[in-house]
Amino acid sequence: MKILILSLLRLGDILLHKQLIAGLRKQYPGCQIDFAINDSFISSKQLLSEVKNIHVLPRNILQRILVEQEQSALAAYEKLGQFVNKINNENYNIILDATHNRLSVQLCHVLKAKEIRFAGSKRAATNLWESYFNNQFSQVNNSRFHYVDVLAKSLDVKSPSALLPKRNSSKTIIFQVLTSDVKKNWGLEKFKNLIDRVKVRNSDAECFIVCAPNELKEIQAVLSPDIYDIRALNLPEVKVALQSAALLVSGDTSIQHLAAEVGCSVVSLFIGSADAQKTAPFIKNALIVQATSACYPCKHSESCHQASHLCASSVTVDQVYKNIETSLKGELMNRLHDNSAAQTTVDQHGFMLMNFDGSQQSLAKDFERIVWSFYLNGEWKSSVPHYGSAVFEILNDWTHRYSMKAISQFATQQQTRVSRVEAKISEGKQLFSGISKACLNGTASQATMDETLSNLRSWHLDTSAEFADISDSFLKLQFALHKTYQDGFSLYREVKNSLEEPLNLNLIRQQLLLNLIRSLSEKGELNEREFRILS
Amino acid sequence: MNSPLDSLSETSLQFTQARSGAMTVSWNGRYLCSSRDPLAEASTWLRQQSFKDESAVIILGLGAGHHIKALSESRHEQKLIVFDYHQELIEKFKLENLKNCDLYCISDLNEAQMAEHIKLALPVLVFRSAWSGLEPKYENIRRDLSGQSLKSFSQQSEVRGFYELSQALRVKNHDFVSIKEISVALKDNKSDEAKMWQVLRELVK
Repeated sequence: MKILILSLLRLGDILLHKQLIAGLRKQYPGCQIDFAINDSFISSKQLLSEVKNIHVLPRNILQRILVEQEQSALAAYEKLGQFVNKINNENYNIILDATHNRLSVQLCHVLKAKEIRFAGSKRAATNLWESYFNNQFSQVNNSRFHYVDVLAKSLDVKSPSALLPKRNSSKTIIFQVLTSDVKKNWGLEKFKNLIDRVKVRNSDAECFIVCAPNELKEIQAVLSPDIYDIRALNLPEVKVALQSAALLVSGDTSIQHLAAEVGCSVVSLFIGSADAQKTAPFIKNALIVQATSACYPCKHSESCHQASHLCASSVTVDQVYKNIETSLKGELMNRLHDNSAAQTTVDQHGFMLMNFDGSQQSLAKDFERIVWSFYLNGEWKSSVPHYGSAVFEILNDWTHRYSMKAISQFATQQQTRVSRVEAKISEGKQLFSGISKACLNGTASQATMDETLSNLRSWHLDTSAEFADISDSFLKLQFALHKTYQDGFSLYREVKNSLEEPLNLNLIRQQLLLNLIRSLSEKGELNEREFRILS
Repeated sequence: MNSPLDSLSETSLQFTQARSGAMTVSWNGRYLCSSRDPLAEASTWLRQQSFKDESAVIILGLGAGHHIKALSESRHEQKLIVFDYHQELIEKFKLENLKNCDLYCISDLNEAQMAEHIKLALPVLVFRSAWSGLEPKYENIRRDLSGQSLKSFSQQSEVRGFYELSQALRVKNHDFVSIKEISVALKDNKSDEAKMWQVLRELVK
């Protein structure tokens, strides 16, 4: 069995794509796994020792030929042809498109293998995770799941399990003080204050800063090399350093993923466009300090439009220091009401960020993630959905992080809210039913279709605003309502299918809540009157 | 405009010493490389060039030849094919006896000989200082050698068996070929060849 993973993104992504290897080896014992990467990240070859062959797409050369036009476009065609032929000659059994962009989809159309799993394939059309990846995941602040989980499930790969950090007696703390994107940087002055504090309070700790050679000058301008140990290292050297370190303190960089790979504890700072739910280091018990400014997280492609770097300012030296101490002491449990950082873990629904602030918002977020997991895995379709056992797991986890009073209050409030969501969806269905018959028998005029779509768009806006925290339930519908339709039947099919998503999600919410309320009642956490009303 | 293959009068070519002491050359009062420091100019030019791994490259513009020597010294294995309009410059530079370096006077080449070079679709490295006074002529040659004119791109395509692509582009009403135009011309084509061009289009979107 020969498998190729198309990993044509950046270094951090390549390291995250490596997480798929373990799942693939379980699924296909003895399989050969190869990678395809971009020429810009040829240095990552040294980090891909588990991989047999690495195909390099000469992306920079191709772009240079096509943009600078110093050579005929045919030369680019021939170079791409060599890359494609090399892959096709390998006769892969499976090609997995982990890149998931328009380029890789186009590339999959010229690659040959027994099976190619990519966004545009027939298989993808029936995989709800794939649809989630396309619609919800790419939206800002809208993912319920980690990138690795969404990717694995979209590609029908067994979900990888995150490691626990290795325990060692090391006193070494490594700081990665810059990221590849200025928006994601916390600030060198803050790192300076942080390192000073760590050194004072942990006199036996060995602290050093790692960076790429081209970052050295910028760092030395603030952190004097006479005082601070700054090491410009290549990737294999950083990997070796992390293997024997107690902790890495980093922004959202590829180095945090390297730390996760070798089992080094991490305190990560998520600022700017860095979205921890999507790209936190894939390791258990990492502490994730996130910005709290209203503009966080921002769009990856846009530069910061604030007068000052608000999100970076919202993360204090105190806060980061506290989490370094927590991580070093291993005091990761019993953090009730500690809202300074989220903690990474894995439950039956995959990798997650646990919040310990005890708030209703955090409860709602945790609950919604489980709802989506049920929906995307198709568990709700089975003859006996495992709502009961899911609720058992929920309570098992939640009682560590929330008071029973908070959980009871949440269940009570959600029951009312879920009914309200149901009523709201019925309004939408009502609006649609006015035109659905005419769409089906081909008698709907363009004017009627436009009018119905316009009414549905207003209803959708209103609904998304009212239920802002679950607006992702209506995202597929939003796309359907903003498409242009040439005929009534396409409109009917698209809108009807898209309306089913919020309906099914709400059905799952209802069932989970019912089971939750029953369990709480059995535990005596709801009084008789509440239980009677709710059930 | 004259044909690019017209010959030139070489009477006004002058070799002098630049301020740095290195040799420089001018034609009709226009310098064909730096009048201050042609060696520094050559090393700056060299740093800007890519296509290190190609077996051969074309260099368009000879000047005093410092950049060719620099390129030859840094790329021992690469064949250098130099094109220039000034016959006298070429003759003088031939005396340097550089290994792996072919020199051609553009005016001496007939269309068939030029077509042979076009068909190779090699990278074209441009030394613009040497174009002084003849920019439009050099630009035409550059477009042909780098397959940007419809005629030269068709020659390159057909020699590689891409007749369909060549045909599709011929219906265009202007004489400039880019990846965007190629992908538009092949929009409804479902062949593997067309799909490959769509991948390339995606790379520069």
